[in-house]
This record gives sequence, structure tokens and C-alpha cells, in this order.
Amino acid sequence: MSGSDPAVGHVNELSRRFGFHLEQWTRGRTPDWARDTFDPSDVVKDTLLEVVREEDAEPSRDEALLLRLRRTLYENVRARLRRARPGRLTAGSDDADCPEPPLHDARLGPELFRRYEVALTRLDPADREAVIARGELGLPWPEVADLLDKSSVAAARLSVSRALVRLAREMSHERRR
Amino acid sequence: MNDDDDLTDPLLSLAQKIAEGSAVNPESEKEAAPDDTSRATLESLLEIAAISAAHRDTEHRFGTALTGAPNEPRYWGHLIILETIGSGEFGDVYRAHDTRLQVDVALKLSSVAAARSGEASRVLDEARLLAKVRHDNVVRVYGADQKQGRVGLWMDLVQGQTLEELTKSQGFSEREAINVGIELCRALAAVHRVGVLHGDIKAHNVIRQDGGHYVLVDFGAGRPLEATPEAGRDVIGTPVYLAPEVLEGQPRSTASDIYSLGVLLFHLVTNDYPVYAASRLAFIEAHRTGTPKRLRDLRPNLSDGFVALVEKAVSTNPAERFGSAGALQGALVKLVSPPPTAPMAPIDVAPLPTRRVPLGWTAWALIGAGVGGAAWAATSTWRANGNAPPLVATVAATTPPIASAGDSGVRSYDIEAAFYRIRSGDEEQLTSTSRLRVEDELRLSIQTTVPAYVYVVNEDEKGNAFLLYPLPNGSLARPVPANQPVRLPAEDNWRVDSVGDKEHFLVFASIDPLTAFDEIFKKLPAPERGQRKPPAVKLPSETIDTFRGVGGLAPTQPRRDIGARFRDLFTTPLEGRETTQGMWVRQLTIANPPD
Repeated sequence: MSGSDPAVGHVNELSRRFGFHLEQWTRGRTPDWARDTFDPSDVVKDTLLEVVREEDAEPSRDEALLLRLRRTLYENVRARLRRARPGRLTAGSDDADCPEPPLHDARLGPELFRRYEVALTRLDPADREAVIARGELGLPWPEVADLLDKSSVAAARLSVSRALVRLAREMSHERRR
Repeated sequence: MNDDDDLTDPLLSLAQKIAEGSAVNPESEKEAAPDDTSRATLESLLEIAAISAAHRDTEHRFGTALTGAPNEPRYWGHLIILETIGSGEFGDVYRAHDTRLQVDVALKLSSVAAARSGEASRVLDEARLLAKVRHDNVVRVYGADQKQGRVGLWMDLVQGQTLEELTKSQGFSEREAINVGIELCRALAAVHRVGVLHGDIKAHNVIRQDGGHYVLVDFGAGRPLEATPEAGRDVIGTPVYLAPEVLEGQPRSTASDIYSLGVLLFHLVTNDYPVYAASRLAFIEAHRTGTPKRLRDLRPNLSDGFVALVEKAVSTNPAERFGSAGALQGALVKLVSPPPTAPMAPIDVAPLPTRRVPLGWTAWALIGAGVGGAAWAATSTWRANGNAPPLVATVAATTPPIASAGDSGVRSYDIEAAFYRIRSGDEEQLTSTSRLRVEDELRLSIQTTVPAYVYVVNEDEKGNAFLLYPLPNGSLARPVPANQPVRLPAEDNWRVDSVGDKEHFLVFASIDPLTAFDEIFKKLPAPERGQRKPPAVKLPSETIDTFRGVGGLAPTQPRRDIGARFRDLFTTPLEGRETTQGMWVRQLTIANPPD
């Protein structure tokens, strides 16, 4: 990419809007044993670039921006973790039980994350985006309103709250299965 | 079950708390559930609350703080934080050590809060603007990044005092202010040339380095010239330095940067401002109806020319200001052109000087073909009076790159040049502490990344000048070849054969032949092999006006009463490697202090 490449401007804009929050999300998904093996900010930069290139190649993709970012980042973190310690995520360790890069909190087990991720996939895209934007990334409310195409912060707040309730309902269903 | 059935108050209330990141008490929340179905959903909401809290907690657990363990270095990326040297709205400025480049740098680092809000992206914007500008008078950026939850840029650690500190501690004479203005005009011209507005020129943002060089810093309020901010959204900067049209909501422009520079000149000599008010509206009102403070009232002894120049720069009407930084620089240069001490004659009819020529130059011819190819023989001696004082080389003055006559001024190239003294077979680069003696030999080493036309001129304090390069019948092809060290003269050294007053050595380089200057240079006497050098002549004022007219400096009509000489135009030292455009001119001044 050169300085005149429009993709550079796009990456910069995404970095301005989401960079900090995606980096924090990545830190949260990086186990202690992997903390010295890769730089979360580099994963985020690679992710932003990848998403912009995907969009350039296939502009009509029907996936919301934030969902694309989260999915790509998720895959990239997993790939880095695999490279950092081969086998760690497949067998023979605590992390092997968790198919996703774990959010490290001793009180939260892998089963909870499995139900959470499954429930998340069952939400419609708008609700999923609302949960990720606010519940995971903690984006500022004006940014959330913009992403959700809401006319006001109050409307965005209500949308996120409803999405969280729907997510909880899906998680509850998943627990009973 | 209908979605809305679940959106009963207890559930929605809890979801809202989660969304806001508020604390949740699981026990009391569970008690609020009206039935088992709602209770199951509510328990899942509590799990979501825990996940959401864990996400928020990563900032604390994984750390965005720079503090390390006691007695251990604090890192941001590959930079070691050494000390805090400033604080601002968006973060701090540190002295840091770049472990890769192995140099100390200034690190401007956003706060985590600024990064979270997206405001810190301004630091990256600043870095991108700075990266466009390459100029001696503008701070150089090394890099920018986003790490550890912060956005940062690192750049040259410019050590010295700000103009604000100097204004408060010692004040500035008119002459000193003019010198500052000339250097800042060069910086500003370079900034504008690459399509950037500085946006916040003020005494706090200019540092006088310990060597006396002025450096423009802090592009935090800068933006690309072509950007089109919304009406009223471009009021960024320091109110006392902001042009009236900007205060009223018009976009900033090169004219508003000129206004700020005018205010800075005003401030340097008065420690005051043309307009001062308590609020933005009061500033607007003061500009509309009030009378700006008059420079003459605050400093009655200032020259008419300086007062008129500053008042033109701070005109309320942008159209009445100088049209460019180069125009303002030209006006400043005119103010310091010394008055003629004697009538000047054109070069071709110039009378030969009757007094001692302070510095004589002789070419040393290589006669080594028959003696092993390494012997140098003197062909003449320093023509000096017996009580001539020793020479002390000091690096002084010169100019920024200016476009040459045949060049568009947009091609960049790297250039490095240094004078060397040869004494008893040993070579030593001339620096501000070097001393020269009779019988010393000198040469210039120059290297460029493009073929370049090079000229070397020696001028004494009285205006007597010699052309040291190109020499008549010189064998070195012109332009000099690129990407290899080239010694000038090609086969000779210049030999000091007299000692006199202060001497100035000017080195000119250009991508294109300086056709207009060629004619002037040809008229200058040059040392020849095996002969004593011819007598020097004075440079006429027309020569200087030719220089001004080429390359975008303020054009002037030739005036017989201008006593300026080559050297008066240039104040940038000959030192180090740099990138330039068009014509490049640097000066080495050697003083001859009496014993």
C-alpha cells in the first residue's frame, strides 16, 4: 500500500474509531503464556488491513463492519496463539477445552464462553453488533448509535439493552440443551 | 414466547446496567425476577454481565500504564521512557530512548482516555503531517504507532529554550527578531510547500537549539491545506495568535499562518500581543472595533521598516498580508541588508582592491604522475601580512533550499558536504573549533544522490569574492557524478596563503545548471595552478538581486544602494547530510580573531 492508496485512509479511519477498543479486546483474549509472543496492536493493525482489503475485493459483502472486524480479529488471535504454542489449543491443556481464545478471568469457565458464543451466532446481525459494540468493546455511545444506525444515543441504549436480553434468552436455551 | 414478553422491567433494567457498565448485585437482581422463565434469562444476563466486566477489566489487568516495577525501565513499544518533559490535554511528552535507532527522542504519547475516545488519532495525524516536511528548521519525526492502549509519535529531541522562555527571560532586539523570522519563514515555506498548515505558530512552539538554530515544533493543530473543514470547525490554535478571520469561523489558510508569525515577531520585541481579550467573542469584537496595539508605542526605537513589516503581517485583511512565507522572508532579508560602505561597481569594471586581500587561494596541482602519484606540490604561498592573526573556523549562517532557475523545486535529493583541512598529510574536517594556518590546504568533499552542478565561492567581510570552483580548465565533468564522494577541486587542494579578516565559503549545488549564475561566477577571479591568485573583486548589488529573483525569494528590482552580498542571504550552517530540493546553498564562516 502506498500513501496515496485509499485503503490507507480507510485503515486509518477504522483505527481511529476502533483501534483502542479492538486492542483491549485482543489483550483480553491473550492468555498469560502468550503475552510475550505477539503484540496485540500488531494483530489489530493486520486485522484492519485485512478487512479493508476484503472489502475492496468484495464490496457487496452483506456483513456488518463490526462483525467482520470481530470475526477477523478472532481468527487472527487464534492463529497467533496456535503459532505461539502449537497444540495448546487442541489438546492437553486447560485452553484445549475452549475452542475460542479465552477471556481470562478465573471465575469464568470455558462452558460459559461456549454458550455465549453459540448464543451470539443465533442473534440477528443487528443484535450481535449491538452486543459486541457495547458489551465487548465498550465503544462510546455516539459510535454505537452510528454503527447501529440509530438517530440518538438513547435509541442506541435501548437497542443494546434489548439485544442483551435476547442474548441472555439464547444462552438460557443453550444451557437447557 | 414473544421477544417483548422478555423485555419486562427487571430484565431490561439489568440489561441497561450491563450496557452502561454499572455494578450489578446478582442476589438483589435475582429477587426481582417475576417467574422461573424470567429468572433463567436473568441468570444468563448476570453471566453476560460477568463477561462484559471481564472485557472492561482487561485494561486494568493487562496494563496500559507505563510504570514498571521499581528501578526497572518503563517501556512503550521499543522506547524506554526516561523522564517527563511536558504535559498536555491529550497526554504527555517524554524524553525517551529509541532502542533500535540508539538515540534519545521526544515521545508524545496520548493518554489512555484520549485513545479510548478516538481523540488521540490527532497524534497520528500530526505525525503524518510532520513526515511530509523535511527541513532544518522543522522538527523531524521518526515514527508513530498505537500500542499499549496509547497513541504516540517520536521525533527529534530538540534541546534548547522556547522563544517564549527567551522572550520572558531576556527579550529580543529587532535584529534578533528578524533572524528568528527569517528562519521561521524558511520553515513555514517548507511546510506550506508540501501542502500543510502549521496552525499554531507561537513562541511556545519554536525552540532555539543550544547552537542557535531555531526549530518549529508541535504540529498538533496542523492539517492538510486542501482539507475542507466545516464552517466554524477550524478554530484551532492559540487565540492571541489566531487571525481574525479564523476567529470568525473562516477556514485557516497560509495567510493565517503568516498572521501568527507576525504576532510572534510582535511578541518577541514587546513581550505583548497586538490584540488581547478574555474570550473568543471578545477577540472578534476587539479585531472588529478595537485598535490593535501599535508596535511603535511599545518599542519606539524600532526601525520604520520592521514596524511596517510586522503591521503588514498582522493586517486584519488577509489580502493585505504578505502573500507567502517567502515574501515575508524576502522583506525580512531586505531589512538586514547592510548599507553600502562605498559605491559598488559592476563586476567587469570593478577596481582592484588596493588593500590587503584577507584570504588568498591557490590551487595545488597534482604532479604525481611522475613521482608515484601521491605528491602534492605548492605552487604559491599565502600572501599575508606578517602580523595576521590565526584563523578560527566557525560554522555560521546560510539558507534553506530554494528552487533553482531551471527547476520546478519539487525534486528532492540528498546532499552532504564538508570542508577538510590538510596539514602535514593529515586530514581533519573543519568545524567551529578548527583553526587554520598559512600553508594549510583545504578541500571540499561533497556527495549527492543526483548529478549536481556545484559552485564554491569565497567572500571576505568586505565583499571581495573568488570563485574556488569550478576552476578554469578543471577536468571534473559537470555536473558532478551522483552517489559517490567527490572531492573539489578534483585534482588540487586550495591552499591558504594569506590570513585576514572573517571569511565566508559558500557552496552552491543544483540539479540544473544555474545559467543565470554561471555568467556571474565566470566573472569572479579564480586561482590557477602555478600562479598566484588574481586579485578579488567586489560583488555588485545586481548579483544579489539576481539571487533573490531566482528560486522564489522576494523579487526585487536591482538597486545600486543595496550593499548585501552573497553571504547575507544565507544563515544555515554547512553541516551534515540533508535532503533538499532545487538549489542548495550553505555557508562556512571562518573568523579571524586577533590574538
